Amino acid sequence: MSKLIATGSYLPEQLLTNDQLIEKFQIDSSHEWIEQRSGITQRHFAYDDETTADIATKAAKNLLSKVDLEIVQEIKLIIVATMSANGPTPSVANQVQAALGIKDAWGFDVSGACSGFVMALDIAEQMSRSKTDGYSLVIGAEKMSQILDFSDRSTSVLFGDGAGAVLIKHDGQGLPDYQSELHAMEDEKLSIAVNLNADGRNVMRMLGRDVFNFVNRTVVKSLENFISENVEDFDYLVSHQANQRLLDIIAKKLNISEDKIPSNIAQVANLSAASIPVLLDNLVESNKIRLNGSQKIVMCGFGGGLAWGNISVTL
Amino acid sequence: MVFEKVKEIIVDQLGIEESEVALATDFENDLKADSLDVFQIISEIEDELDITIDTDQNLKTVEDLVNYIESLEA
Repeated sequence: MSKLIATGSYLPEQLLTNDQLIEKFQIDSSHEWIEQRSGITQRHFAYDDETTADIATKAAKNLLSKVDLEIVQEIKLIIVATMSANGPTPSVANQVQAALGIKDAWGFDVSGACSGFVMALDIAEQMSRSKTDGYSLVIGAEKMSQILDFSDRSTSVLFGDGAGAVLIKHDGQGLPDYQSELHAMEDEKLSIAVNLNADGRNVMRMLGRDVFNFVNRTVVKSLENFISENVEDFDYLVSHQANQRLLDIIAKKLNISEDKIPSNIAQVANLSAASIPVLLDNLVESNKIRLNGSQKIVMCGFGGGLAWGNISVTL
Repeated sequence: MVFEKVKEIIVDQLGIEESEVALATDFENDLKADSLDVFQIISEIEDELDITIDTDQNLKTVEDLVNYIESLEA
């Protein structure tokens, strides 16, 4: 079987608590309001000279620091999930390849918003089935701070910057016990969208009630069905970290104990496509996920598109 | 009847006493409910009563919500 052998992550150096964010950008909000509604107490923002590709590369380097050096040149495919790339080409994946000095690989970006990582992982897993050597590097990387409107207190306080990465060793077959379901539907009201604002910047907008209804009705039901059809039992649900309150709703509706739905949103905020792989790396680093083929992990991504996806796999 | 059902759902969602919920009760000022709390309450009511509650309705008090539901059922 192919195997997910390593994880890595990177959070930019600039740490902003809720109070520091409010002060820096003069946001009409409070720490109490932000924490109570989202669970977020802080986030990391990249400085202006640190691009999404830089963030992705650093996560990849963090991952590669944990494996044999020879593996670097055996990476054949790089997929980066991101909605905050600096431009359409070269892709973030191309830039990561160049930064890592990988000679014989190809790659592309996946624009899937908060479902981007499960999309990218699914593509890499499918492709690993036809390869008997080499590795795929799958990264979720975001510089959300560059697409936030700080005059909009309903969105600007929710997001952070960062990247997470996983490495899949190819073995001609897919990952162990791998199941996936990916979905999308029209976002009629553009409830999660990035649009040009009056200043000519592309900025994030969200319609709270519609996003809530999407998660509460569509995402939760889909996850519930996926788990009942594909997963007898699981060790962890590694969910997109959109909002702690939404995670609590998911836990309650699916009757999952708190310890099975880990969360790091308080420390890193909503990282969009980087959310799942950063949390995954946190769990590996804390030895909660051991990558020894003994644990069943469910991943759930959901967000802009509207799109959502569920994966279950033995890690 | 509608008020009783709405009260039951609010009590369950917010984990409060029945005595705290009256028609005049304001979600934000009296119950300290935020928008996510209200979304959850509305969602439960929609499921229980098999109705759709318009997003744009200005539902500040329990009475606003009860009146709106009764207008749908009329």
